[in-house]
Amino acid sequence: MNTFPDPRTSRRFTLSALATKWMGQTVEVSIVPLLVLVALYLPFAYFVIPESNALHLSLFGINLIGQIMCFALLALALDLVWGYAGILSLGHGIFFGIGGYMMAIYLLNGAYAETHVLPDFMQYMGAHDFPAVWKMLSRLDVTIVVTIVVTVLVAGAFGFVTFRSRINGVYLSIITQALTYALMLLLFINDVGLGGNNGMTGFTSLAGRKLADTSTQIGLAVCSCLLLVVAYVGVRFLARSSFGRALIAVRDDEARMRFLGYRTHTLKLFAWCLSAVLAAFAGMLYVPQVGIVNPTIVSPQLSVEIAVWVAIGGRGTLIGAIVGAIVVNGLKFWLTAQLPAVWPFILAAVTLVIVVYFSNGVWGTLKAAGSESKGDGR
Amino acid sequence: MKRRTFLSAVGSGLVTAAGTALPKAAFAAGASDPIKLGLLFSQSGTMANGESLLKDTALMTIDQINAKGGVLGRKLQGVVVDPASDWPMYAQLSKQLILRDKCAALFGCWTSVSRKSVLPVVESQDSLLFYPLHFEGEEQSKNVVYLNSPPSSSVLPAIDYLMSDQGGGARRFYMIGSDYVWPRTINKMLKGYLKTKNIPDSAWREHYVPFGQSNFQTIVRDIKDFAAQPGGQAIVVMTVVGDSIPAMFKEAINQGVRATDIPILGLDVVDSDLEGLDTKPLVGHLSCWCYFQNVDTPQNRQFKSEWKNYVSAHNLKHRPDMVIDPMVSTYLGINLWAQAAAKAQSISTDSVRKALAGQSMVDPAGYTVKMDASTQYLWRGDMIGSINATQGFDVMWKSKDIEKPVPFSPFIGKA
Amino acid sequence: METPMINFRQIFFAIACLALVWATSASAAPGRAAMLTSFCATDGDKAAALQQLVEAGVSDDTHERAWARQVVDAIRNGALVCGADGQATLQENPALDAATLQPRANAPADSPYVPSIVMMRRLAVASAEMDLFSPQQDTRATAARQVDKFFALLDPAVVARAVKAQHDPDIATILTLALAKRGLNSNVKADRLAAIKAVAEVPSETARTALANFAAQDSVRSDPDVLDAVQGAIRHMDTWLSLGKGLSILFSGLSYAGVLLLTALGLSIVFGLMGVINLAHGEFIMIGAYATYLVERFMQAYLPGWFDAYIFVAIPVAFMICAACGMLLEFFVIRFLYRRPLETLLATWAVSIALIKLIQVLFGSQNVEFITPGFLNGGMQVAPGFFVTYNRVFAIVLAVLIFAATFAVVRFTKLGLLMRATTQLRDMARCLGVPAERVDRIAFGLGAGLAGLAGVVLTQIASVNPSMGTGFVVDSFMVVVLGGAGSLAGTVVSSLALGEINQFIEPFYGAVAAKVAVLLLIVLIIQKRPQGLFALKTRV
Repeated sequence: MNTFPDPRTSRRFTLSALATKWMGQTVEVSIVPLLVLVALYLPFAYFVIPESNALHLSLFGINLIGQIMCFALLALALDLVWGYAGILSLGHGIFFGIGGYMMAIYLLNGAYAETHVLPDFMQYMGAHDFPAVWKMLSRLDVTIVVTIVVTVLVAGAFGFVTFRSRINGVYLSIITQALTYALMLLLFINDVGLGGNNGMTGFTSLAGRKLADTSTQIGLAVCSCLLLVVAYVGVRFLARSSFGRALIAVRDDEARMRFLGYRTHTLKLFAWCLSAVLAAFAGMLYVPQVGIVNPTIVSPQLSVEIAVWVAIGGRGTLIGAIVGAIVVNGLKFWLTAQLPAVWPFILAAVTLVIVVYFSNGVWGTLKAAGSESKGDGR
Repeated sequence: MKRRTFLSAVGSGLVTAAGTALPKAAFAAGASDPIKLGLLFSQSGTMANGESLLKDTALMTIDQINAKGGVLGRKLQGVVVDPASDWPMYAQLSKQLILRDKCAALFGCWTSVSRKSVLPVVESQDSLLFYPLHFEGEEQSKNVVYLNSPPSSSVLPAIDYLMSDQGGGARRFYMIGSDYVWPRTINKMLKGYLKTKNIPDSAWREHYVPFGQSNFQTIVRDIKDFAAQPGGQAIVVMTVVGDSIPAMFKEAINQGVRATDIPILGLDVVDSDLEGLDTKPLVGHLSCWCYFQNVDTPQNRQFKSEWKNYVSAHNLKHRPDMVIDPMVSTYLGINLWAQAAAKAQSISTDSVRKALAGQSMVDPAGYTVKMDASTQYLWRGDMIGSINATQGFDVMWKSKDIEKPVPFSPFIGKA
Repeated sequence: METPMINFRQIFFAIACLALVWATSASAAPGRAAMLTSFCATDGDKAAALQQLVEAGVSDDTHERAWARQVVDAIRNGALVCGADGQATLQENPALDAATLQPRANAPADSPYVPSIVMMRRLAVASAEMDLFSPQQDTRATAARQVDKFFALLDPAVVARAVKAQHDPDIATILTLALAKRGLNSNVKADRLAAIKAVAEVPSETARTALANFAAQDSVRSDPDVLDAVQGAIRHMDTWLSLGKGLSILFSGLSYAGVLLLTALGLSIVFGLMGVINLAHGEFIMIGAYATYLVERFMQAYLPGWFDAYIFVAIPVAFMICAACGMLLEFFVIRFLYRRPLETLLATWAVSIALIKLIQVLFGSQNVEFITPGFLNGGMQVAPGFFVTYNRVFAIVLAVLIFAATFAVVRFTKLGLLMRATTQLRDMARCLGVPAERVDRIAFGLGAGLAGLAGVVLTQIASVNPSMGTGFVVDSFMVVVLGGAGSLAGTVVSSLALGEINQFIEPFYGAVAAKVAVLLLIVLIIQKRPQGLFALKTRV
């Protein structure tokens, strides 16, 4: 049973006084202007602030922030299905990968149009031209639409069969792991035509701008922030609507909801497809910033890590997912540069402590401690 | 050595743990800043075995150059990162080395896929990657320096030998490789070459396995099946890499495949892959490189003893008596870079690139290697080695002089 | 009257014998040197020189035989140095003069002779021909098979002599067959037909190749009788060989199933009995493999005489170490997370990445090489086209034994009884005095220990490195889920089914496609029957 973590069993904080002041809806809403500020700060930090200043951000730093924002969006997507619908998917990497690969195909189309040189993996597979199916994705708007369609089809097919069969809980998680593993294995095969282990790289331009330009890179990072904001606002609105309430009820006791006449599988399917599309968008923005896509994007390990970010941040709170993703990935990028040998131990320790003792995650625990002090009695 | 290994299995691990857990201390270089050279070699994952050797060779070469006074009055400093055999990590870390650490040049990569991942980065940032492995050619970038041979100088002479009477008169070819750009391109070129020798399509078979594949039961059976068909002597052209090499050899040994039955030409096999195997049943299988450590020259003796001293002085986990070709390429690359920088009196990419053309030095195999003036490929000698009973290679043939590297093979289009 | 007459015939005979002995003994030493010189000559006929060496190797003189043996072995191992001064040396410790086998004062600096592929074959045949006269039967049998394999290179005179000298009828048959194969190339038609018949009697891959090559010759294609005979023989052999190939696939499926069973057994107990999802299961397998490595190093250093038995010593050692690790994990982490399966998932994942890094730091991230125990090396040709390797037979046997032991523990011991009681009706069991927490801990330890045993077996057939476990987690879960959580019989059936299906697909589409197909198949089956094939009836 996926019960929402009971706030009464979480630990008290001596910070609870502080928590009372800070927690609550105000903070959750204020993340929106905060993220917008970050988005505005990025170009400012690069172009205006001089290099010697500590507040300056190098292109490398901006690029990192952009990537982290994509991960935060991915975590948000998972929180929607896990925190609100109770579906722990350990295969969200599949949708992240679909978005990533679609974007890569579009970018390769652009590179081919510019340079008239086939990508390496096509050359050594003996192809003489782009496959016709690929040529469809030669415009950005078409690519976005096609990605949404493909993602909804894949997510819908899986969700339709799975939710109708009433598979949930652990079995569903294992199945999603198996599916992402199978997809990764498939993508490793060069004969499938998606670059195999080499992956796809060599992107030159995006929507008419050169990808190597600093303005494009900064633009992508800014877009990632803004998309995260929009997604957060949208999902939060949805979560606080009656649909969201129904989802929470399904998570807490699906049988009862079914007896009450709700079509629980439809509710779950809708949330699932929406979450998949968000993950695909995250993938679409991630790939141009990294400059390469390859099957490790759909590896089982990455999919489990997404769940870890959400768990650490606090599932079911939306903002917790964002915070968790930003904190964990930020720490990871910083520590793997300084102390590469220590990072896995730190991550393991933090995860264990959070999962065992603070099952609401960082944010959830703070929030619960705050509300308890307020005397809500929830 | 045997008694020590049990204790060192746990003991040196703890030492390493202590060593790696502490942040690396910056080199105290003296008055002026050191010149940073990025070392992009995996310390973990499937390529760790080979690439960690290259990292330590690079550090040893840097120490040697620093002992002679460094370059342009400044010491060199190797910046070590671990891409963990993950190709996107190579791209990410190369960006980090160029943008954040401001490295003057990068030395790294073993597999072609890792090089292809780094290529867009060095091209967009206009840096230099010195690439120490033999590879499939079909590439020529002004931001990459190719320190080892394309197929024209390595693979084709070996194939010619195997097709000759002395080599067994090979007429049928089973190509087994890891599924990525290098094996695919090599095989494509090979098929084109075989066509020019009138080998029919039915006389070859191609098969690819994912990276890290360790179960070769079905494949070795397939090879035996293929060899039993009529049409002439069959050979195996093996382009699997990393962990797959000892796994395939073990399966071949167990299933009774000997070099006298079906010779295997292992294009990426080095001495480190034979460690731990009983190579008596493998005697006679071949490989081709620009250097084998059994070559007897005074330069080689010196290089080998320098490596041996370095390993024991730094208490490294490598075998002190084993030197492989990519290590020599790395050593040559750093030295050539230093020579070019000294000649250009600058470490900027453009000046070093111009000064590199025509640079030469004597390599441990005794050849005077030379950097091509226009293609940025290094002219090197060529050798074919045969596995011996002591986990090494005997030099079966070596070229008289350095050979002109041909970046773009004329046989690719013919397949 | 018998006068002592000088028998001129006897005296003449005696003088002739003496002369002969003197002549041969005088030419013995020059004979060796001459043979070596003609072998070492740069443009000389090495094959002919080798022939002479073989003749010395099968002569009646024991010294000559031993000398020829040593020289041929040296050439095969790349230890013969053809000196520029005309002297041939054997690179042993110390260096020996090749003709006299006496230690040389100054070892030559030249490189040894490296035989070409063709030369290696001739050397193999030469060595085998000399072995045909060895006193040990095993050596003679191996030599006979070797001669048969390279029948095109054999020296008929020597082999015919060997046939006559053989006491063992099997060996004699093999040699006669080899000679018969050579008869394929004879000009006499009757000989050819007889040769075809002889070859067809013993189906094997090499025989089939020989016949197929023979059938491609023009002289055969123009002769309808011979062509018919050859094609019939080939068809007859093909039936045998396809049967052998089918058996091969079944066998590989069995060995794959054995590995699946071993890796999934521990998980079946833990997941089935306790509903705990353990993503660190792969790491227990890995710890078992590294425990085997430590045992191997230990025995190599301190008990070299018993080295080959290290794998048997490793079995209890790995089991205990992994069981201890499992129980520690249960005590510190899992026991707080019962009834929270999703949290268990994440917690065990965290433990797994920490374990992988820990092992990486302690042992390095490279592959660890194992020296295979002698009795697991190589394999056996059971039937034409069906070759089994001993390491996989060992894996299958061990899988069966371990399963039997586990089944016995679960079915017949008190611990098993308590485990089953706790699974079926936990609270009732506790009411009856069953210490449920302790049973859980021991069960978890048992599951982890079984994973460790899987690691021991895997050291002989898979590569061992810190991240080896990640490849097994998804597969073992699939096996358990398909078989039905908690059902041991289900685990066996699903491993067998999955192993065989995988191996049937592999020869056609490759290993990866086979794996993907199997995964998708399982997902489809689970959709229809989520409780697996053999569902245990439990009440929570």
